Amino acid sequence: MPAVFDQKQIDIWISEIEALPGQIKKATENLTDEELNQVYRPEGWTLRQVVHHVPDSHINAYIRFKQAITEDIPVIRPYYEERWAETEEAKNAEIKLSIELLTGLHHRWVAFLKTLKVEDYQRKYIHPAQNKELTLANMLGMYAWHGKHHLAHITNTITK
Amino acid sequence: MVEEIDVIILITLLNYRSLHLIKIMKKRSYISIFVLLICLTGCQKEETQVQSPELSDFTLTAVRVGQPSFTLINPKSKSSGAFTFKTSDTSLITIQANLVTIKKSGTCIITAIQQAAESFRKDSITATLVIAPRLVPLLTDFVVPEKKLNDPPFILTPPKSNSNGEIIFKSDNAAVATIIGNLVTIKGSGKAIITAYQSQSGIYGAHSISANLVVTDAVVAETLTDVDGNIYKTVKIGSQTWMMENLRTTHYRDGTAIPNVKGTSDWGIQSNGAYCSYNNNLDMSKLYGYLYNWHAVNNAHQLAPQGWHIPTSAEWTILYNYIGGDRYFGGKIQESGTSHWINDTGASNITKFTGLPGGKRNGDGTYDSIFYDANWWTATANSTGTASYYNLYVKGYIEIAESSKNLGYSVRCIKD
Repeated sequence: MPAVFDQKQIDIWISEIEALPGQIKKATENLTDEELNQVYRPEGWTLRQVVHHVPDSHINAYIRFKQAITEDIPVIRPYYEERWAETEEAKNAEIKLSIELLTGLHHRWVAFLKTLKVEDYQRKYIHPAQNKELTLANMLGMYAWHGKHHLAHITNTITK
Repeated sequence: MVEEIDVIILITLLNYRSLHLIKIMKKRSYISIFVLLICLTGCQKEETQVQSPELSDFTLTAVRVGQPSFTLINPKSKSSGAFTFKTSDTSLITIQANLVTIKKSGTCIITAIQQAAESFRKDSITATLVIAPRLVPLLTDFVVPEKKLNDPPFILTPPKSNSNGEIIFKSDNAAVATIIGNLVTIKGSGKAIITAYQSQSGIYGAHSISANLVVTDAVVAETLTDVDGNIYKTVKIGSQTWMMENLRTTHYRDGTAIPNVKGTSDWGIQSNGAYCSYNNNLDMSKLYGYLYNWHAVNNAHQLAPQGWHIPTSAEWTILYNYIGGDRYFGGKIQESGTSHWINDTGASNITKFTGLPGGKRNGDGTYDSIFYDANWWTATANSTGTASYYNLYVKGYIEIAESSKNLGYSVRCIKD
């Protein structure tokens, strides 16, 4: 495996998840509506959609983590991220709604993550689309990356 | 001797309506019985349907399963009585009024029944119906061309057929080729039997024809040596020849050293070319290559080895389109397995491009996303401060994006 899932690495990922709402808030606080309506890549989402997508994704992640701890290798419920990003409010609502949601969500998620022992991160859930067991350690890294991935879409776009 | 009472019983049985004639008979004699029978015969000819309608000409030509329903023609008859039809085997055909619907092959008897009318009695006539099975369609000219592992998806040409039945295609070896509709996607080298199945239509039954799809391995081209003496494997993908590894030279083509900028705060302020190893760890660069800022990519001293160059955005788009023209096809240029990528997303690496997740160096000098992200610079600038890059990420997606020129990304070269 390319990464070691030890307590040190888990702590780094938790801190990245903890930092994300503030980073997104900072990256977007001075953006005009016009800037928020720019796409980050041709045919891609607007920055507004990106901001709304992050809590959409992470609220699902939070539920999956809770399920994996309270159930025995649950099969989680996938969602269609592309369709969620096309709902009316995901395209048009002010980003403040999602930054507030993300802030509260990450407070609670991080509080939960910090109570888990390193062995808890070896608990698993099954994503039916991949049809394999995924450890919480692996998914913690994925969500830490996911936040940075979309943050980069915002920061890269606004430096144009 | 025949008793009078016996005569009465006999006549009653023959014709109850003649009873009144018998009652007036007084003599016990055979003569009176004879007279009575003659009377009875005369009476019946006047009042009952005793004539045969003389049914004829009821013949049926052979039919075939799949033919449309057909109408039975009434037999020739002297009578005007109505006809009904019956089959001896309702599993083969059904008859509604005179309309025959064919269900399956076999032989059955159809009986035409004519009701009594006028002076004609009810009668029937039969004919044999032979129902032949559906014909086997003639499928020909099904050819699947030989392919290379790197070839893009292609469309199958259906076989010729004298039937109009719908044709679907199947591959017997998903490791070599998968088929959706008539679009074949190559998954690996080897052989797959591609079968065209034609469904039944009209008088033609279902049938199939197969052809072999032979996929030969990707063409691994000659190796390439950079100015530092590093040797790279290369691969031909469509019309382009790509390096199969990320660039790891520390010198430009002309031998000019590229500054190796390690300091966190120094990285983002470079206005000239610079490179670094992920986390300043040289072991990382042996696997993932170096990370370069865009000023190194676009440099008069030339970053790419002789005879090679950094692909433009348009040249990257040729590769992007070659693998399917959608961001979801990144797995075709992504190394399979989890030797380097954090997750196994089923990447096929069918092109042998072998994209590795070398991560990036941010403008603030921090390193990020190794094992999760491959980022490759294009030679195309978008503005004074930004240039295009391609991002292949852990989900197996590939996207073009734009970022500040002072970020550190990997570099792949293509042959001039």
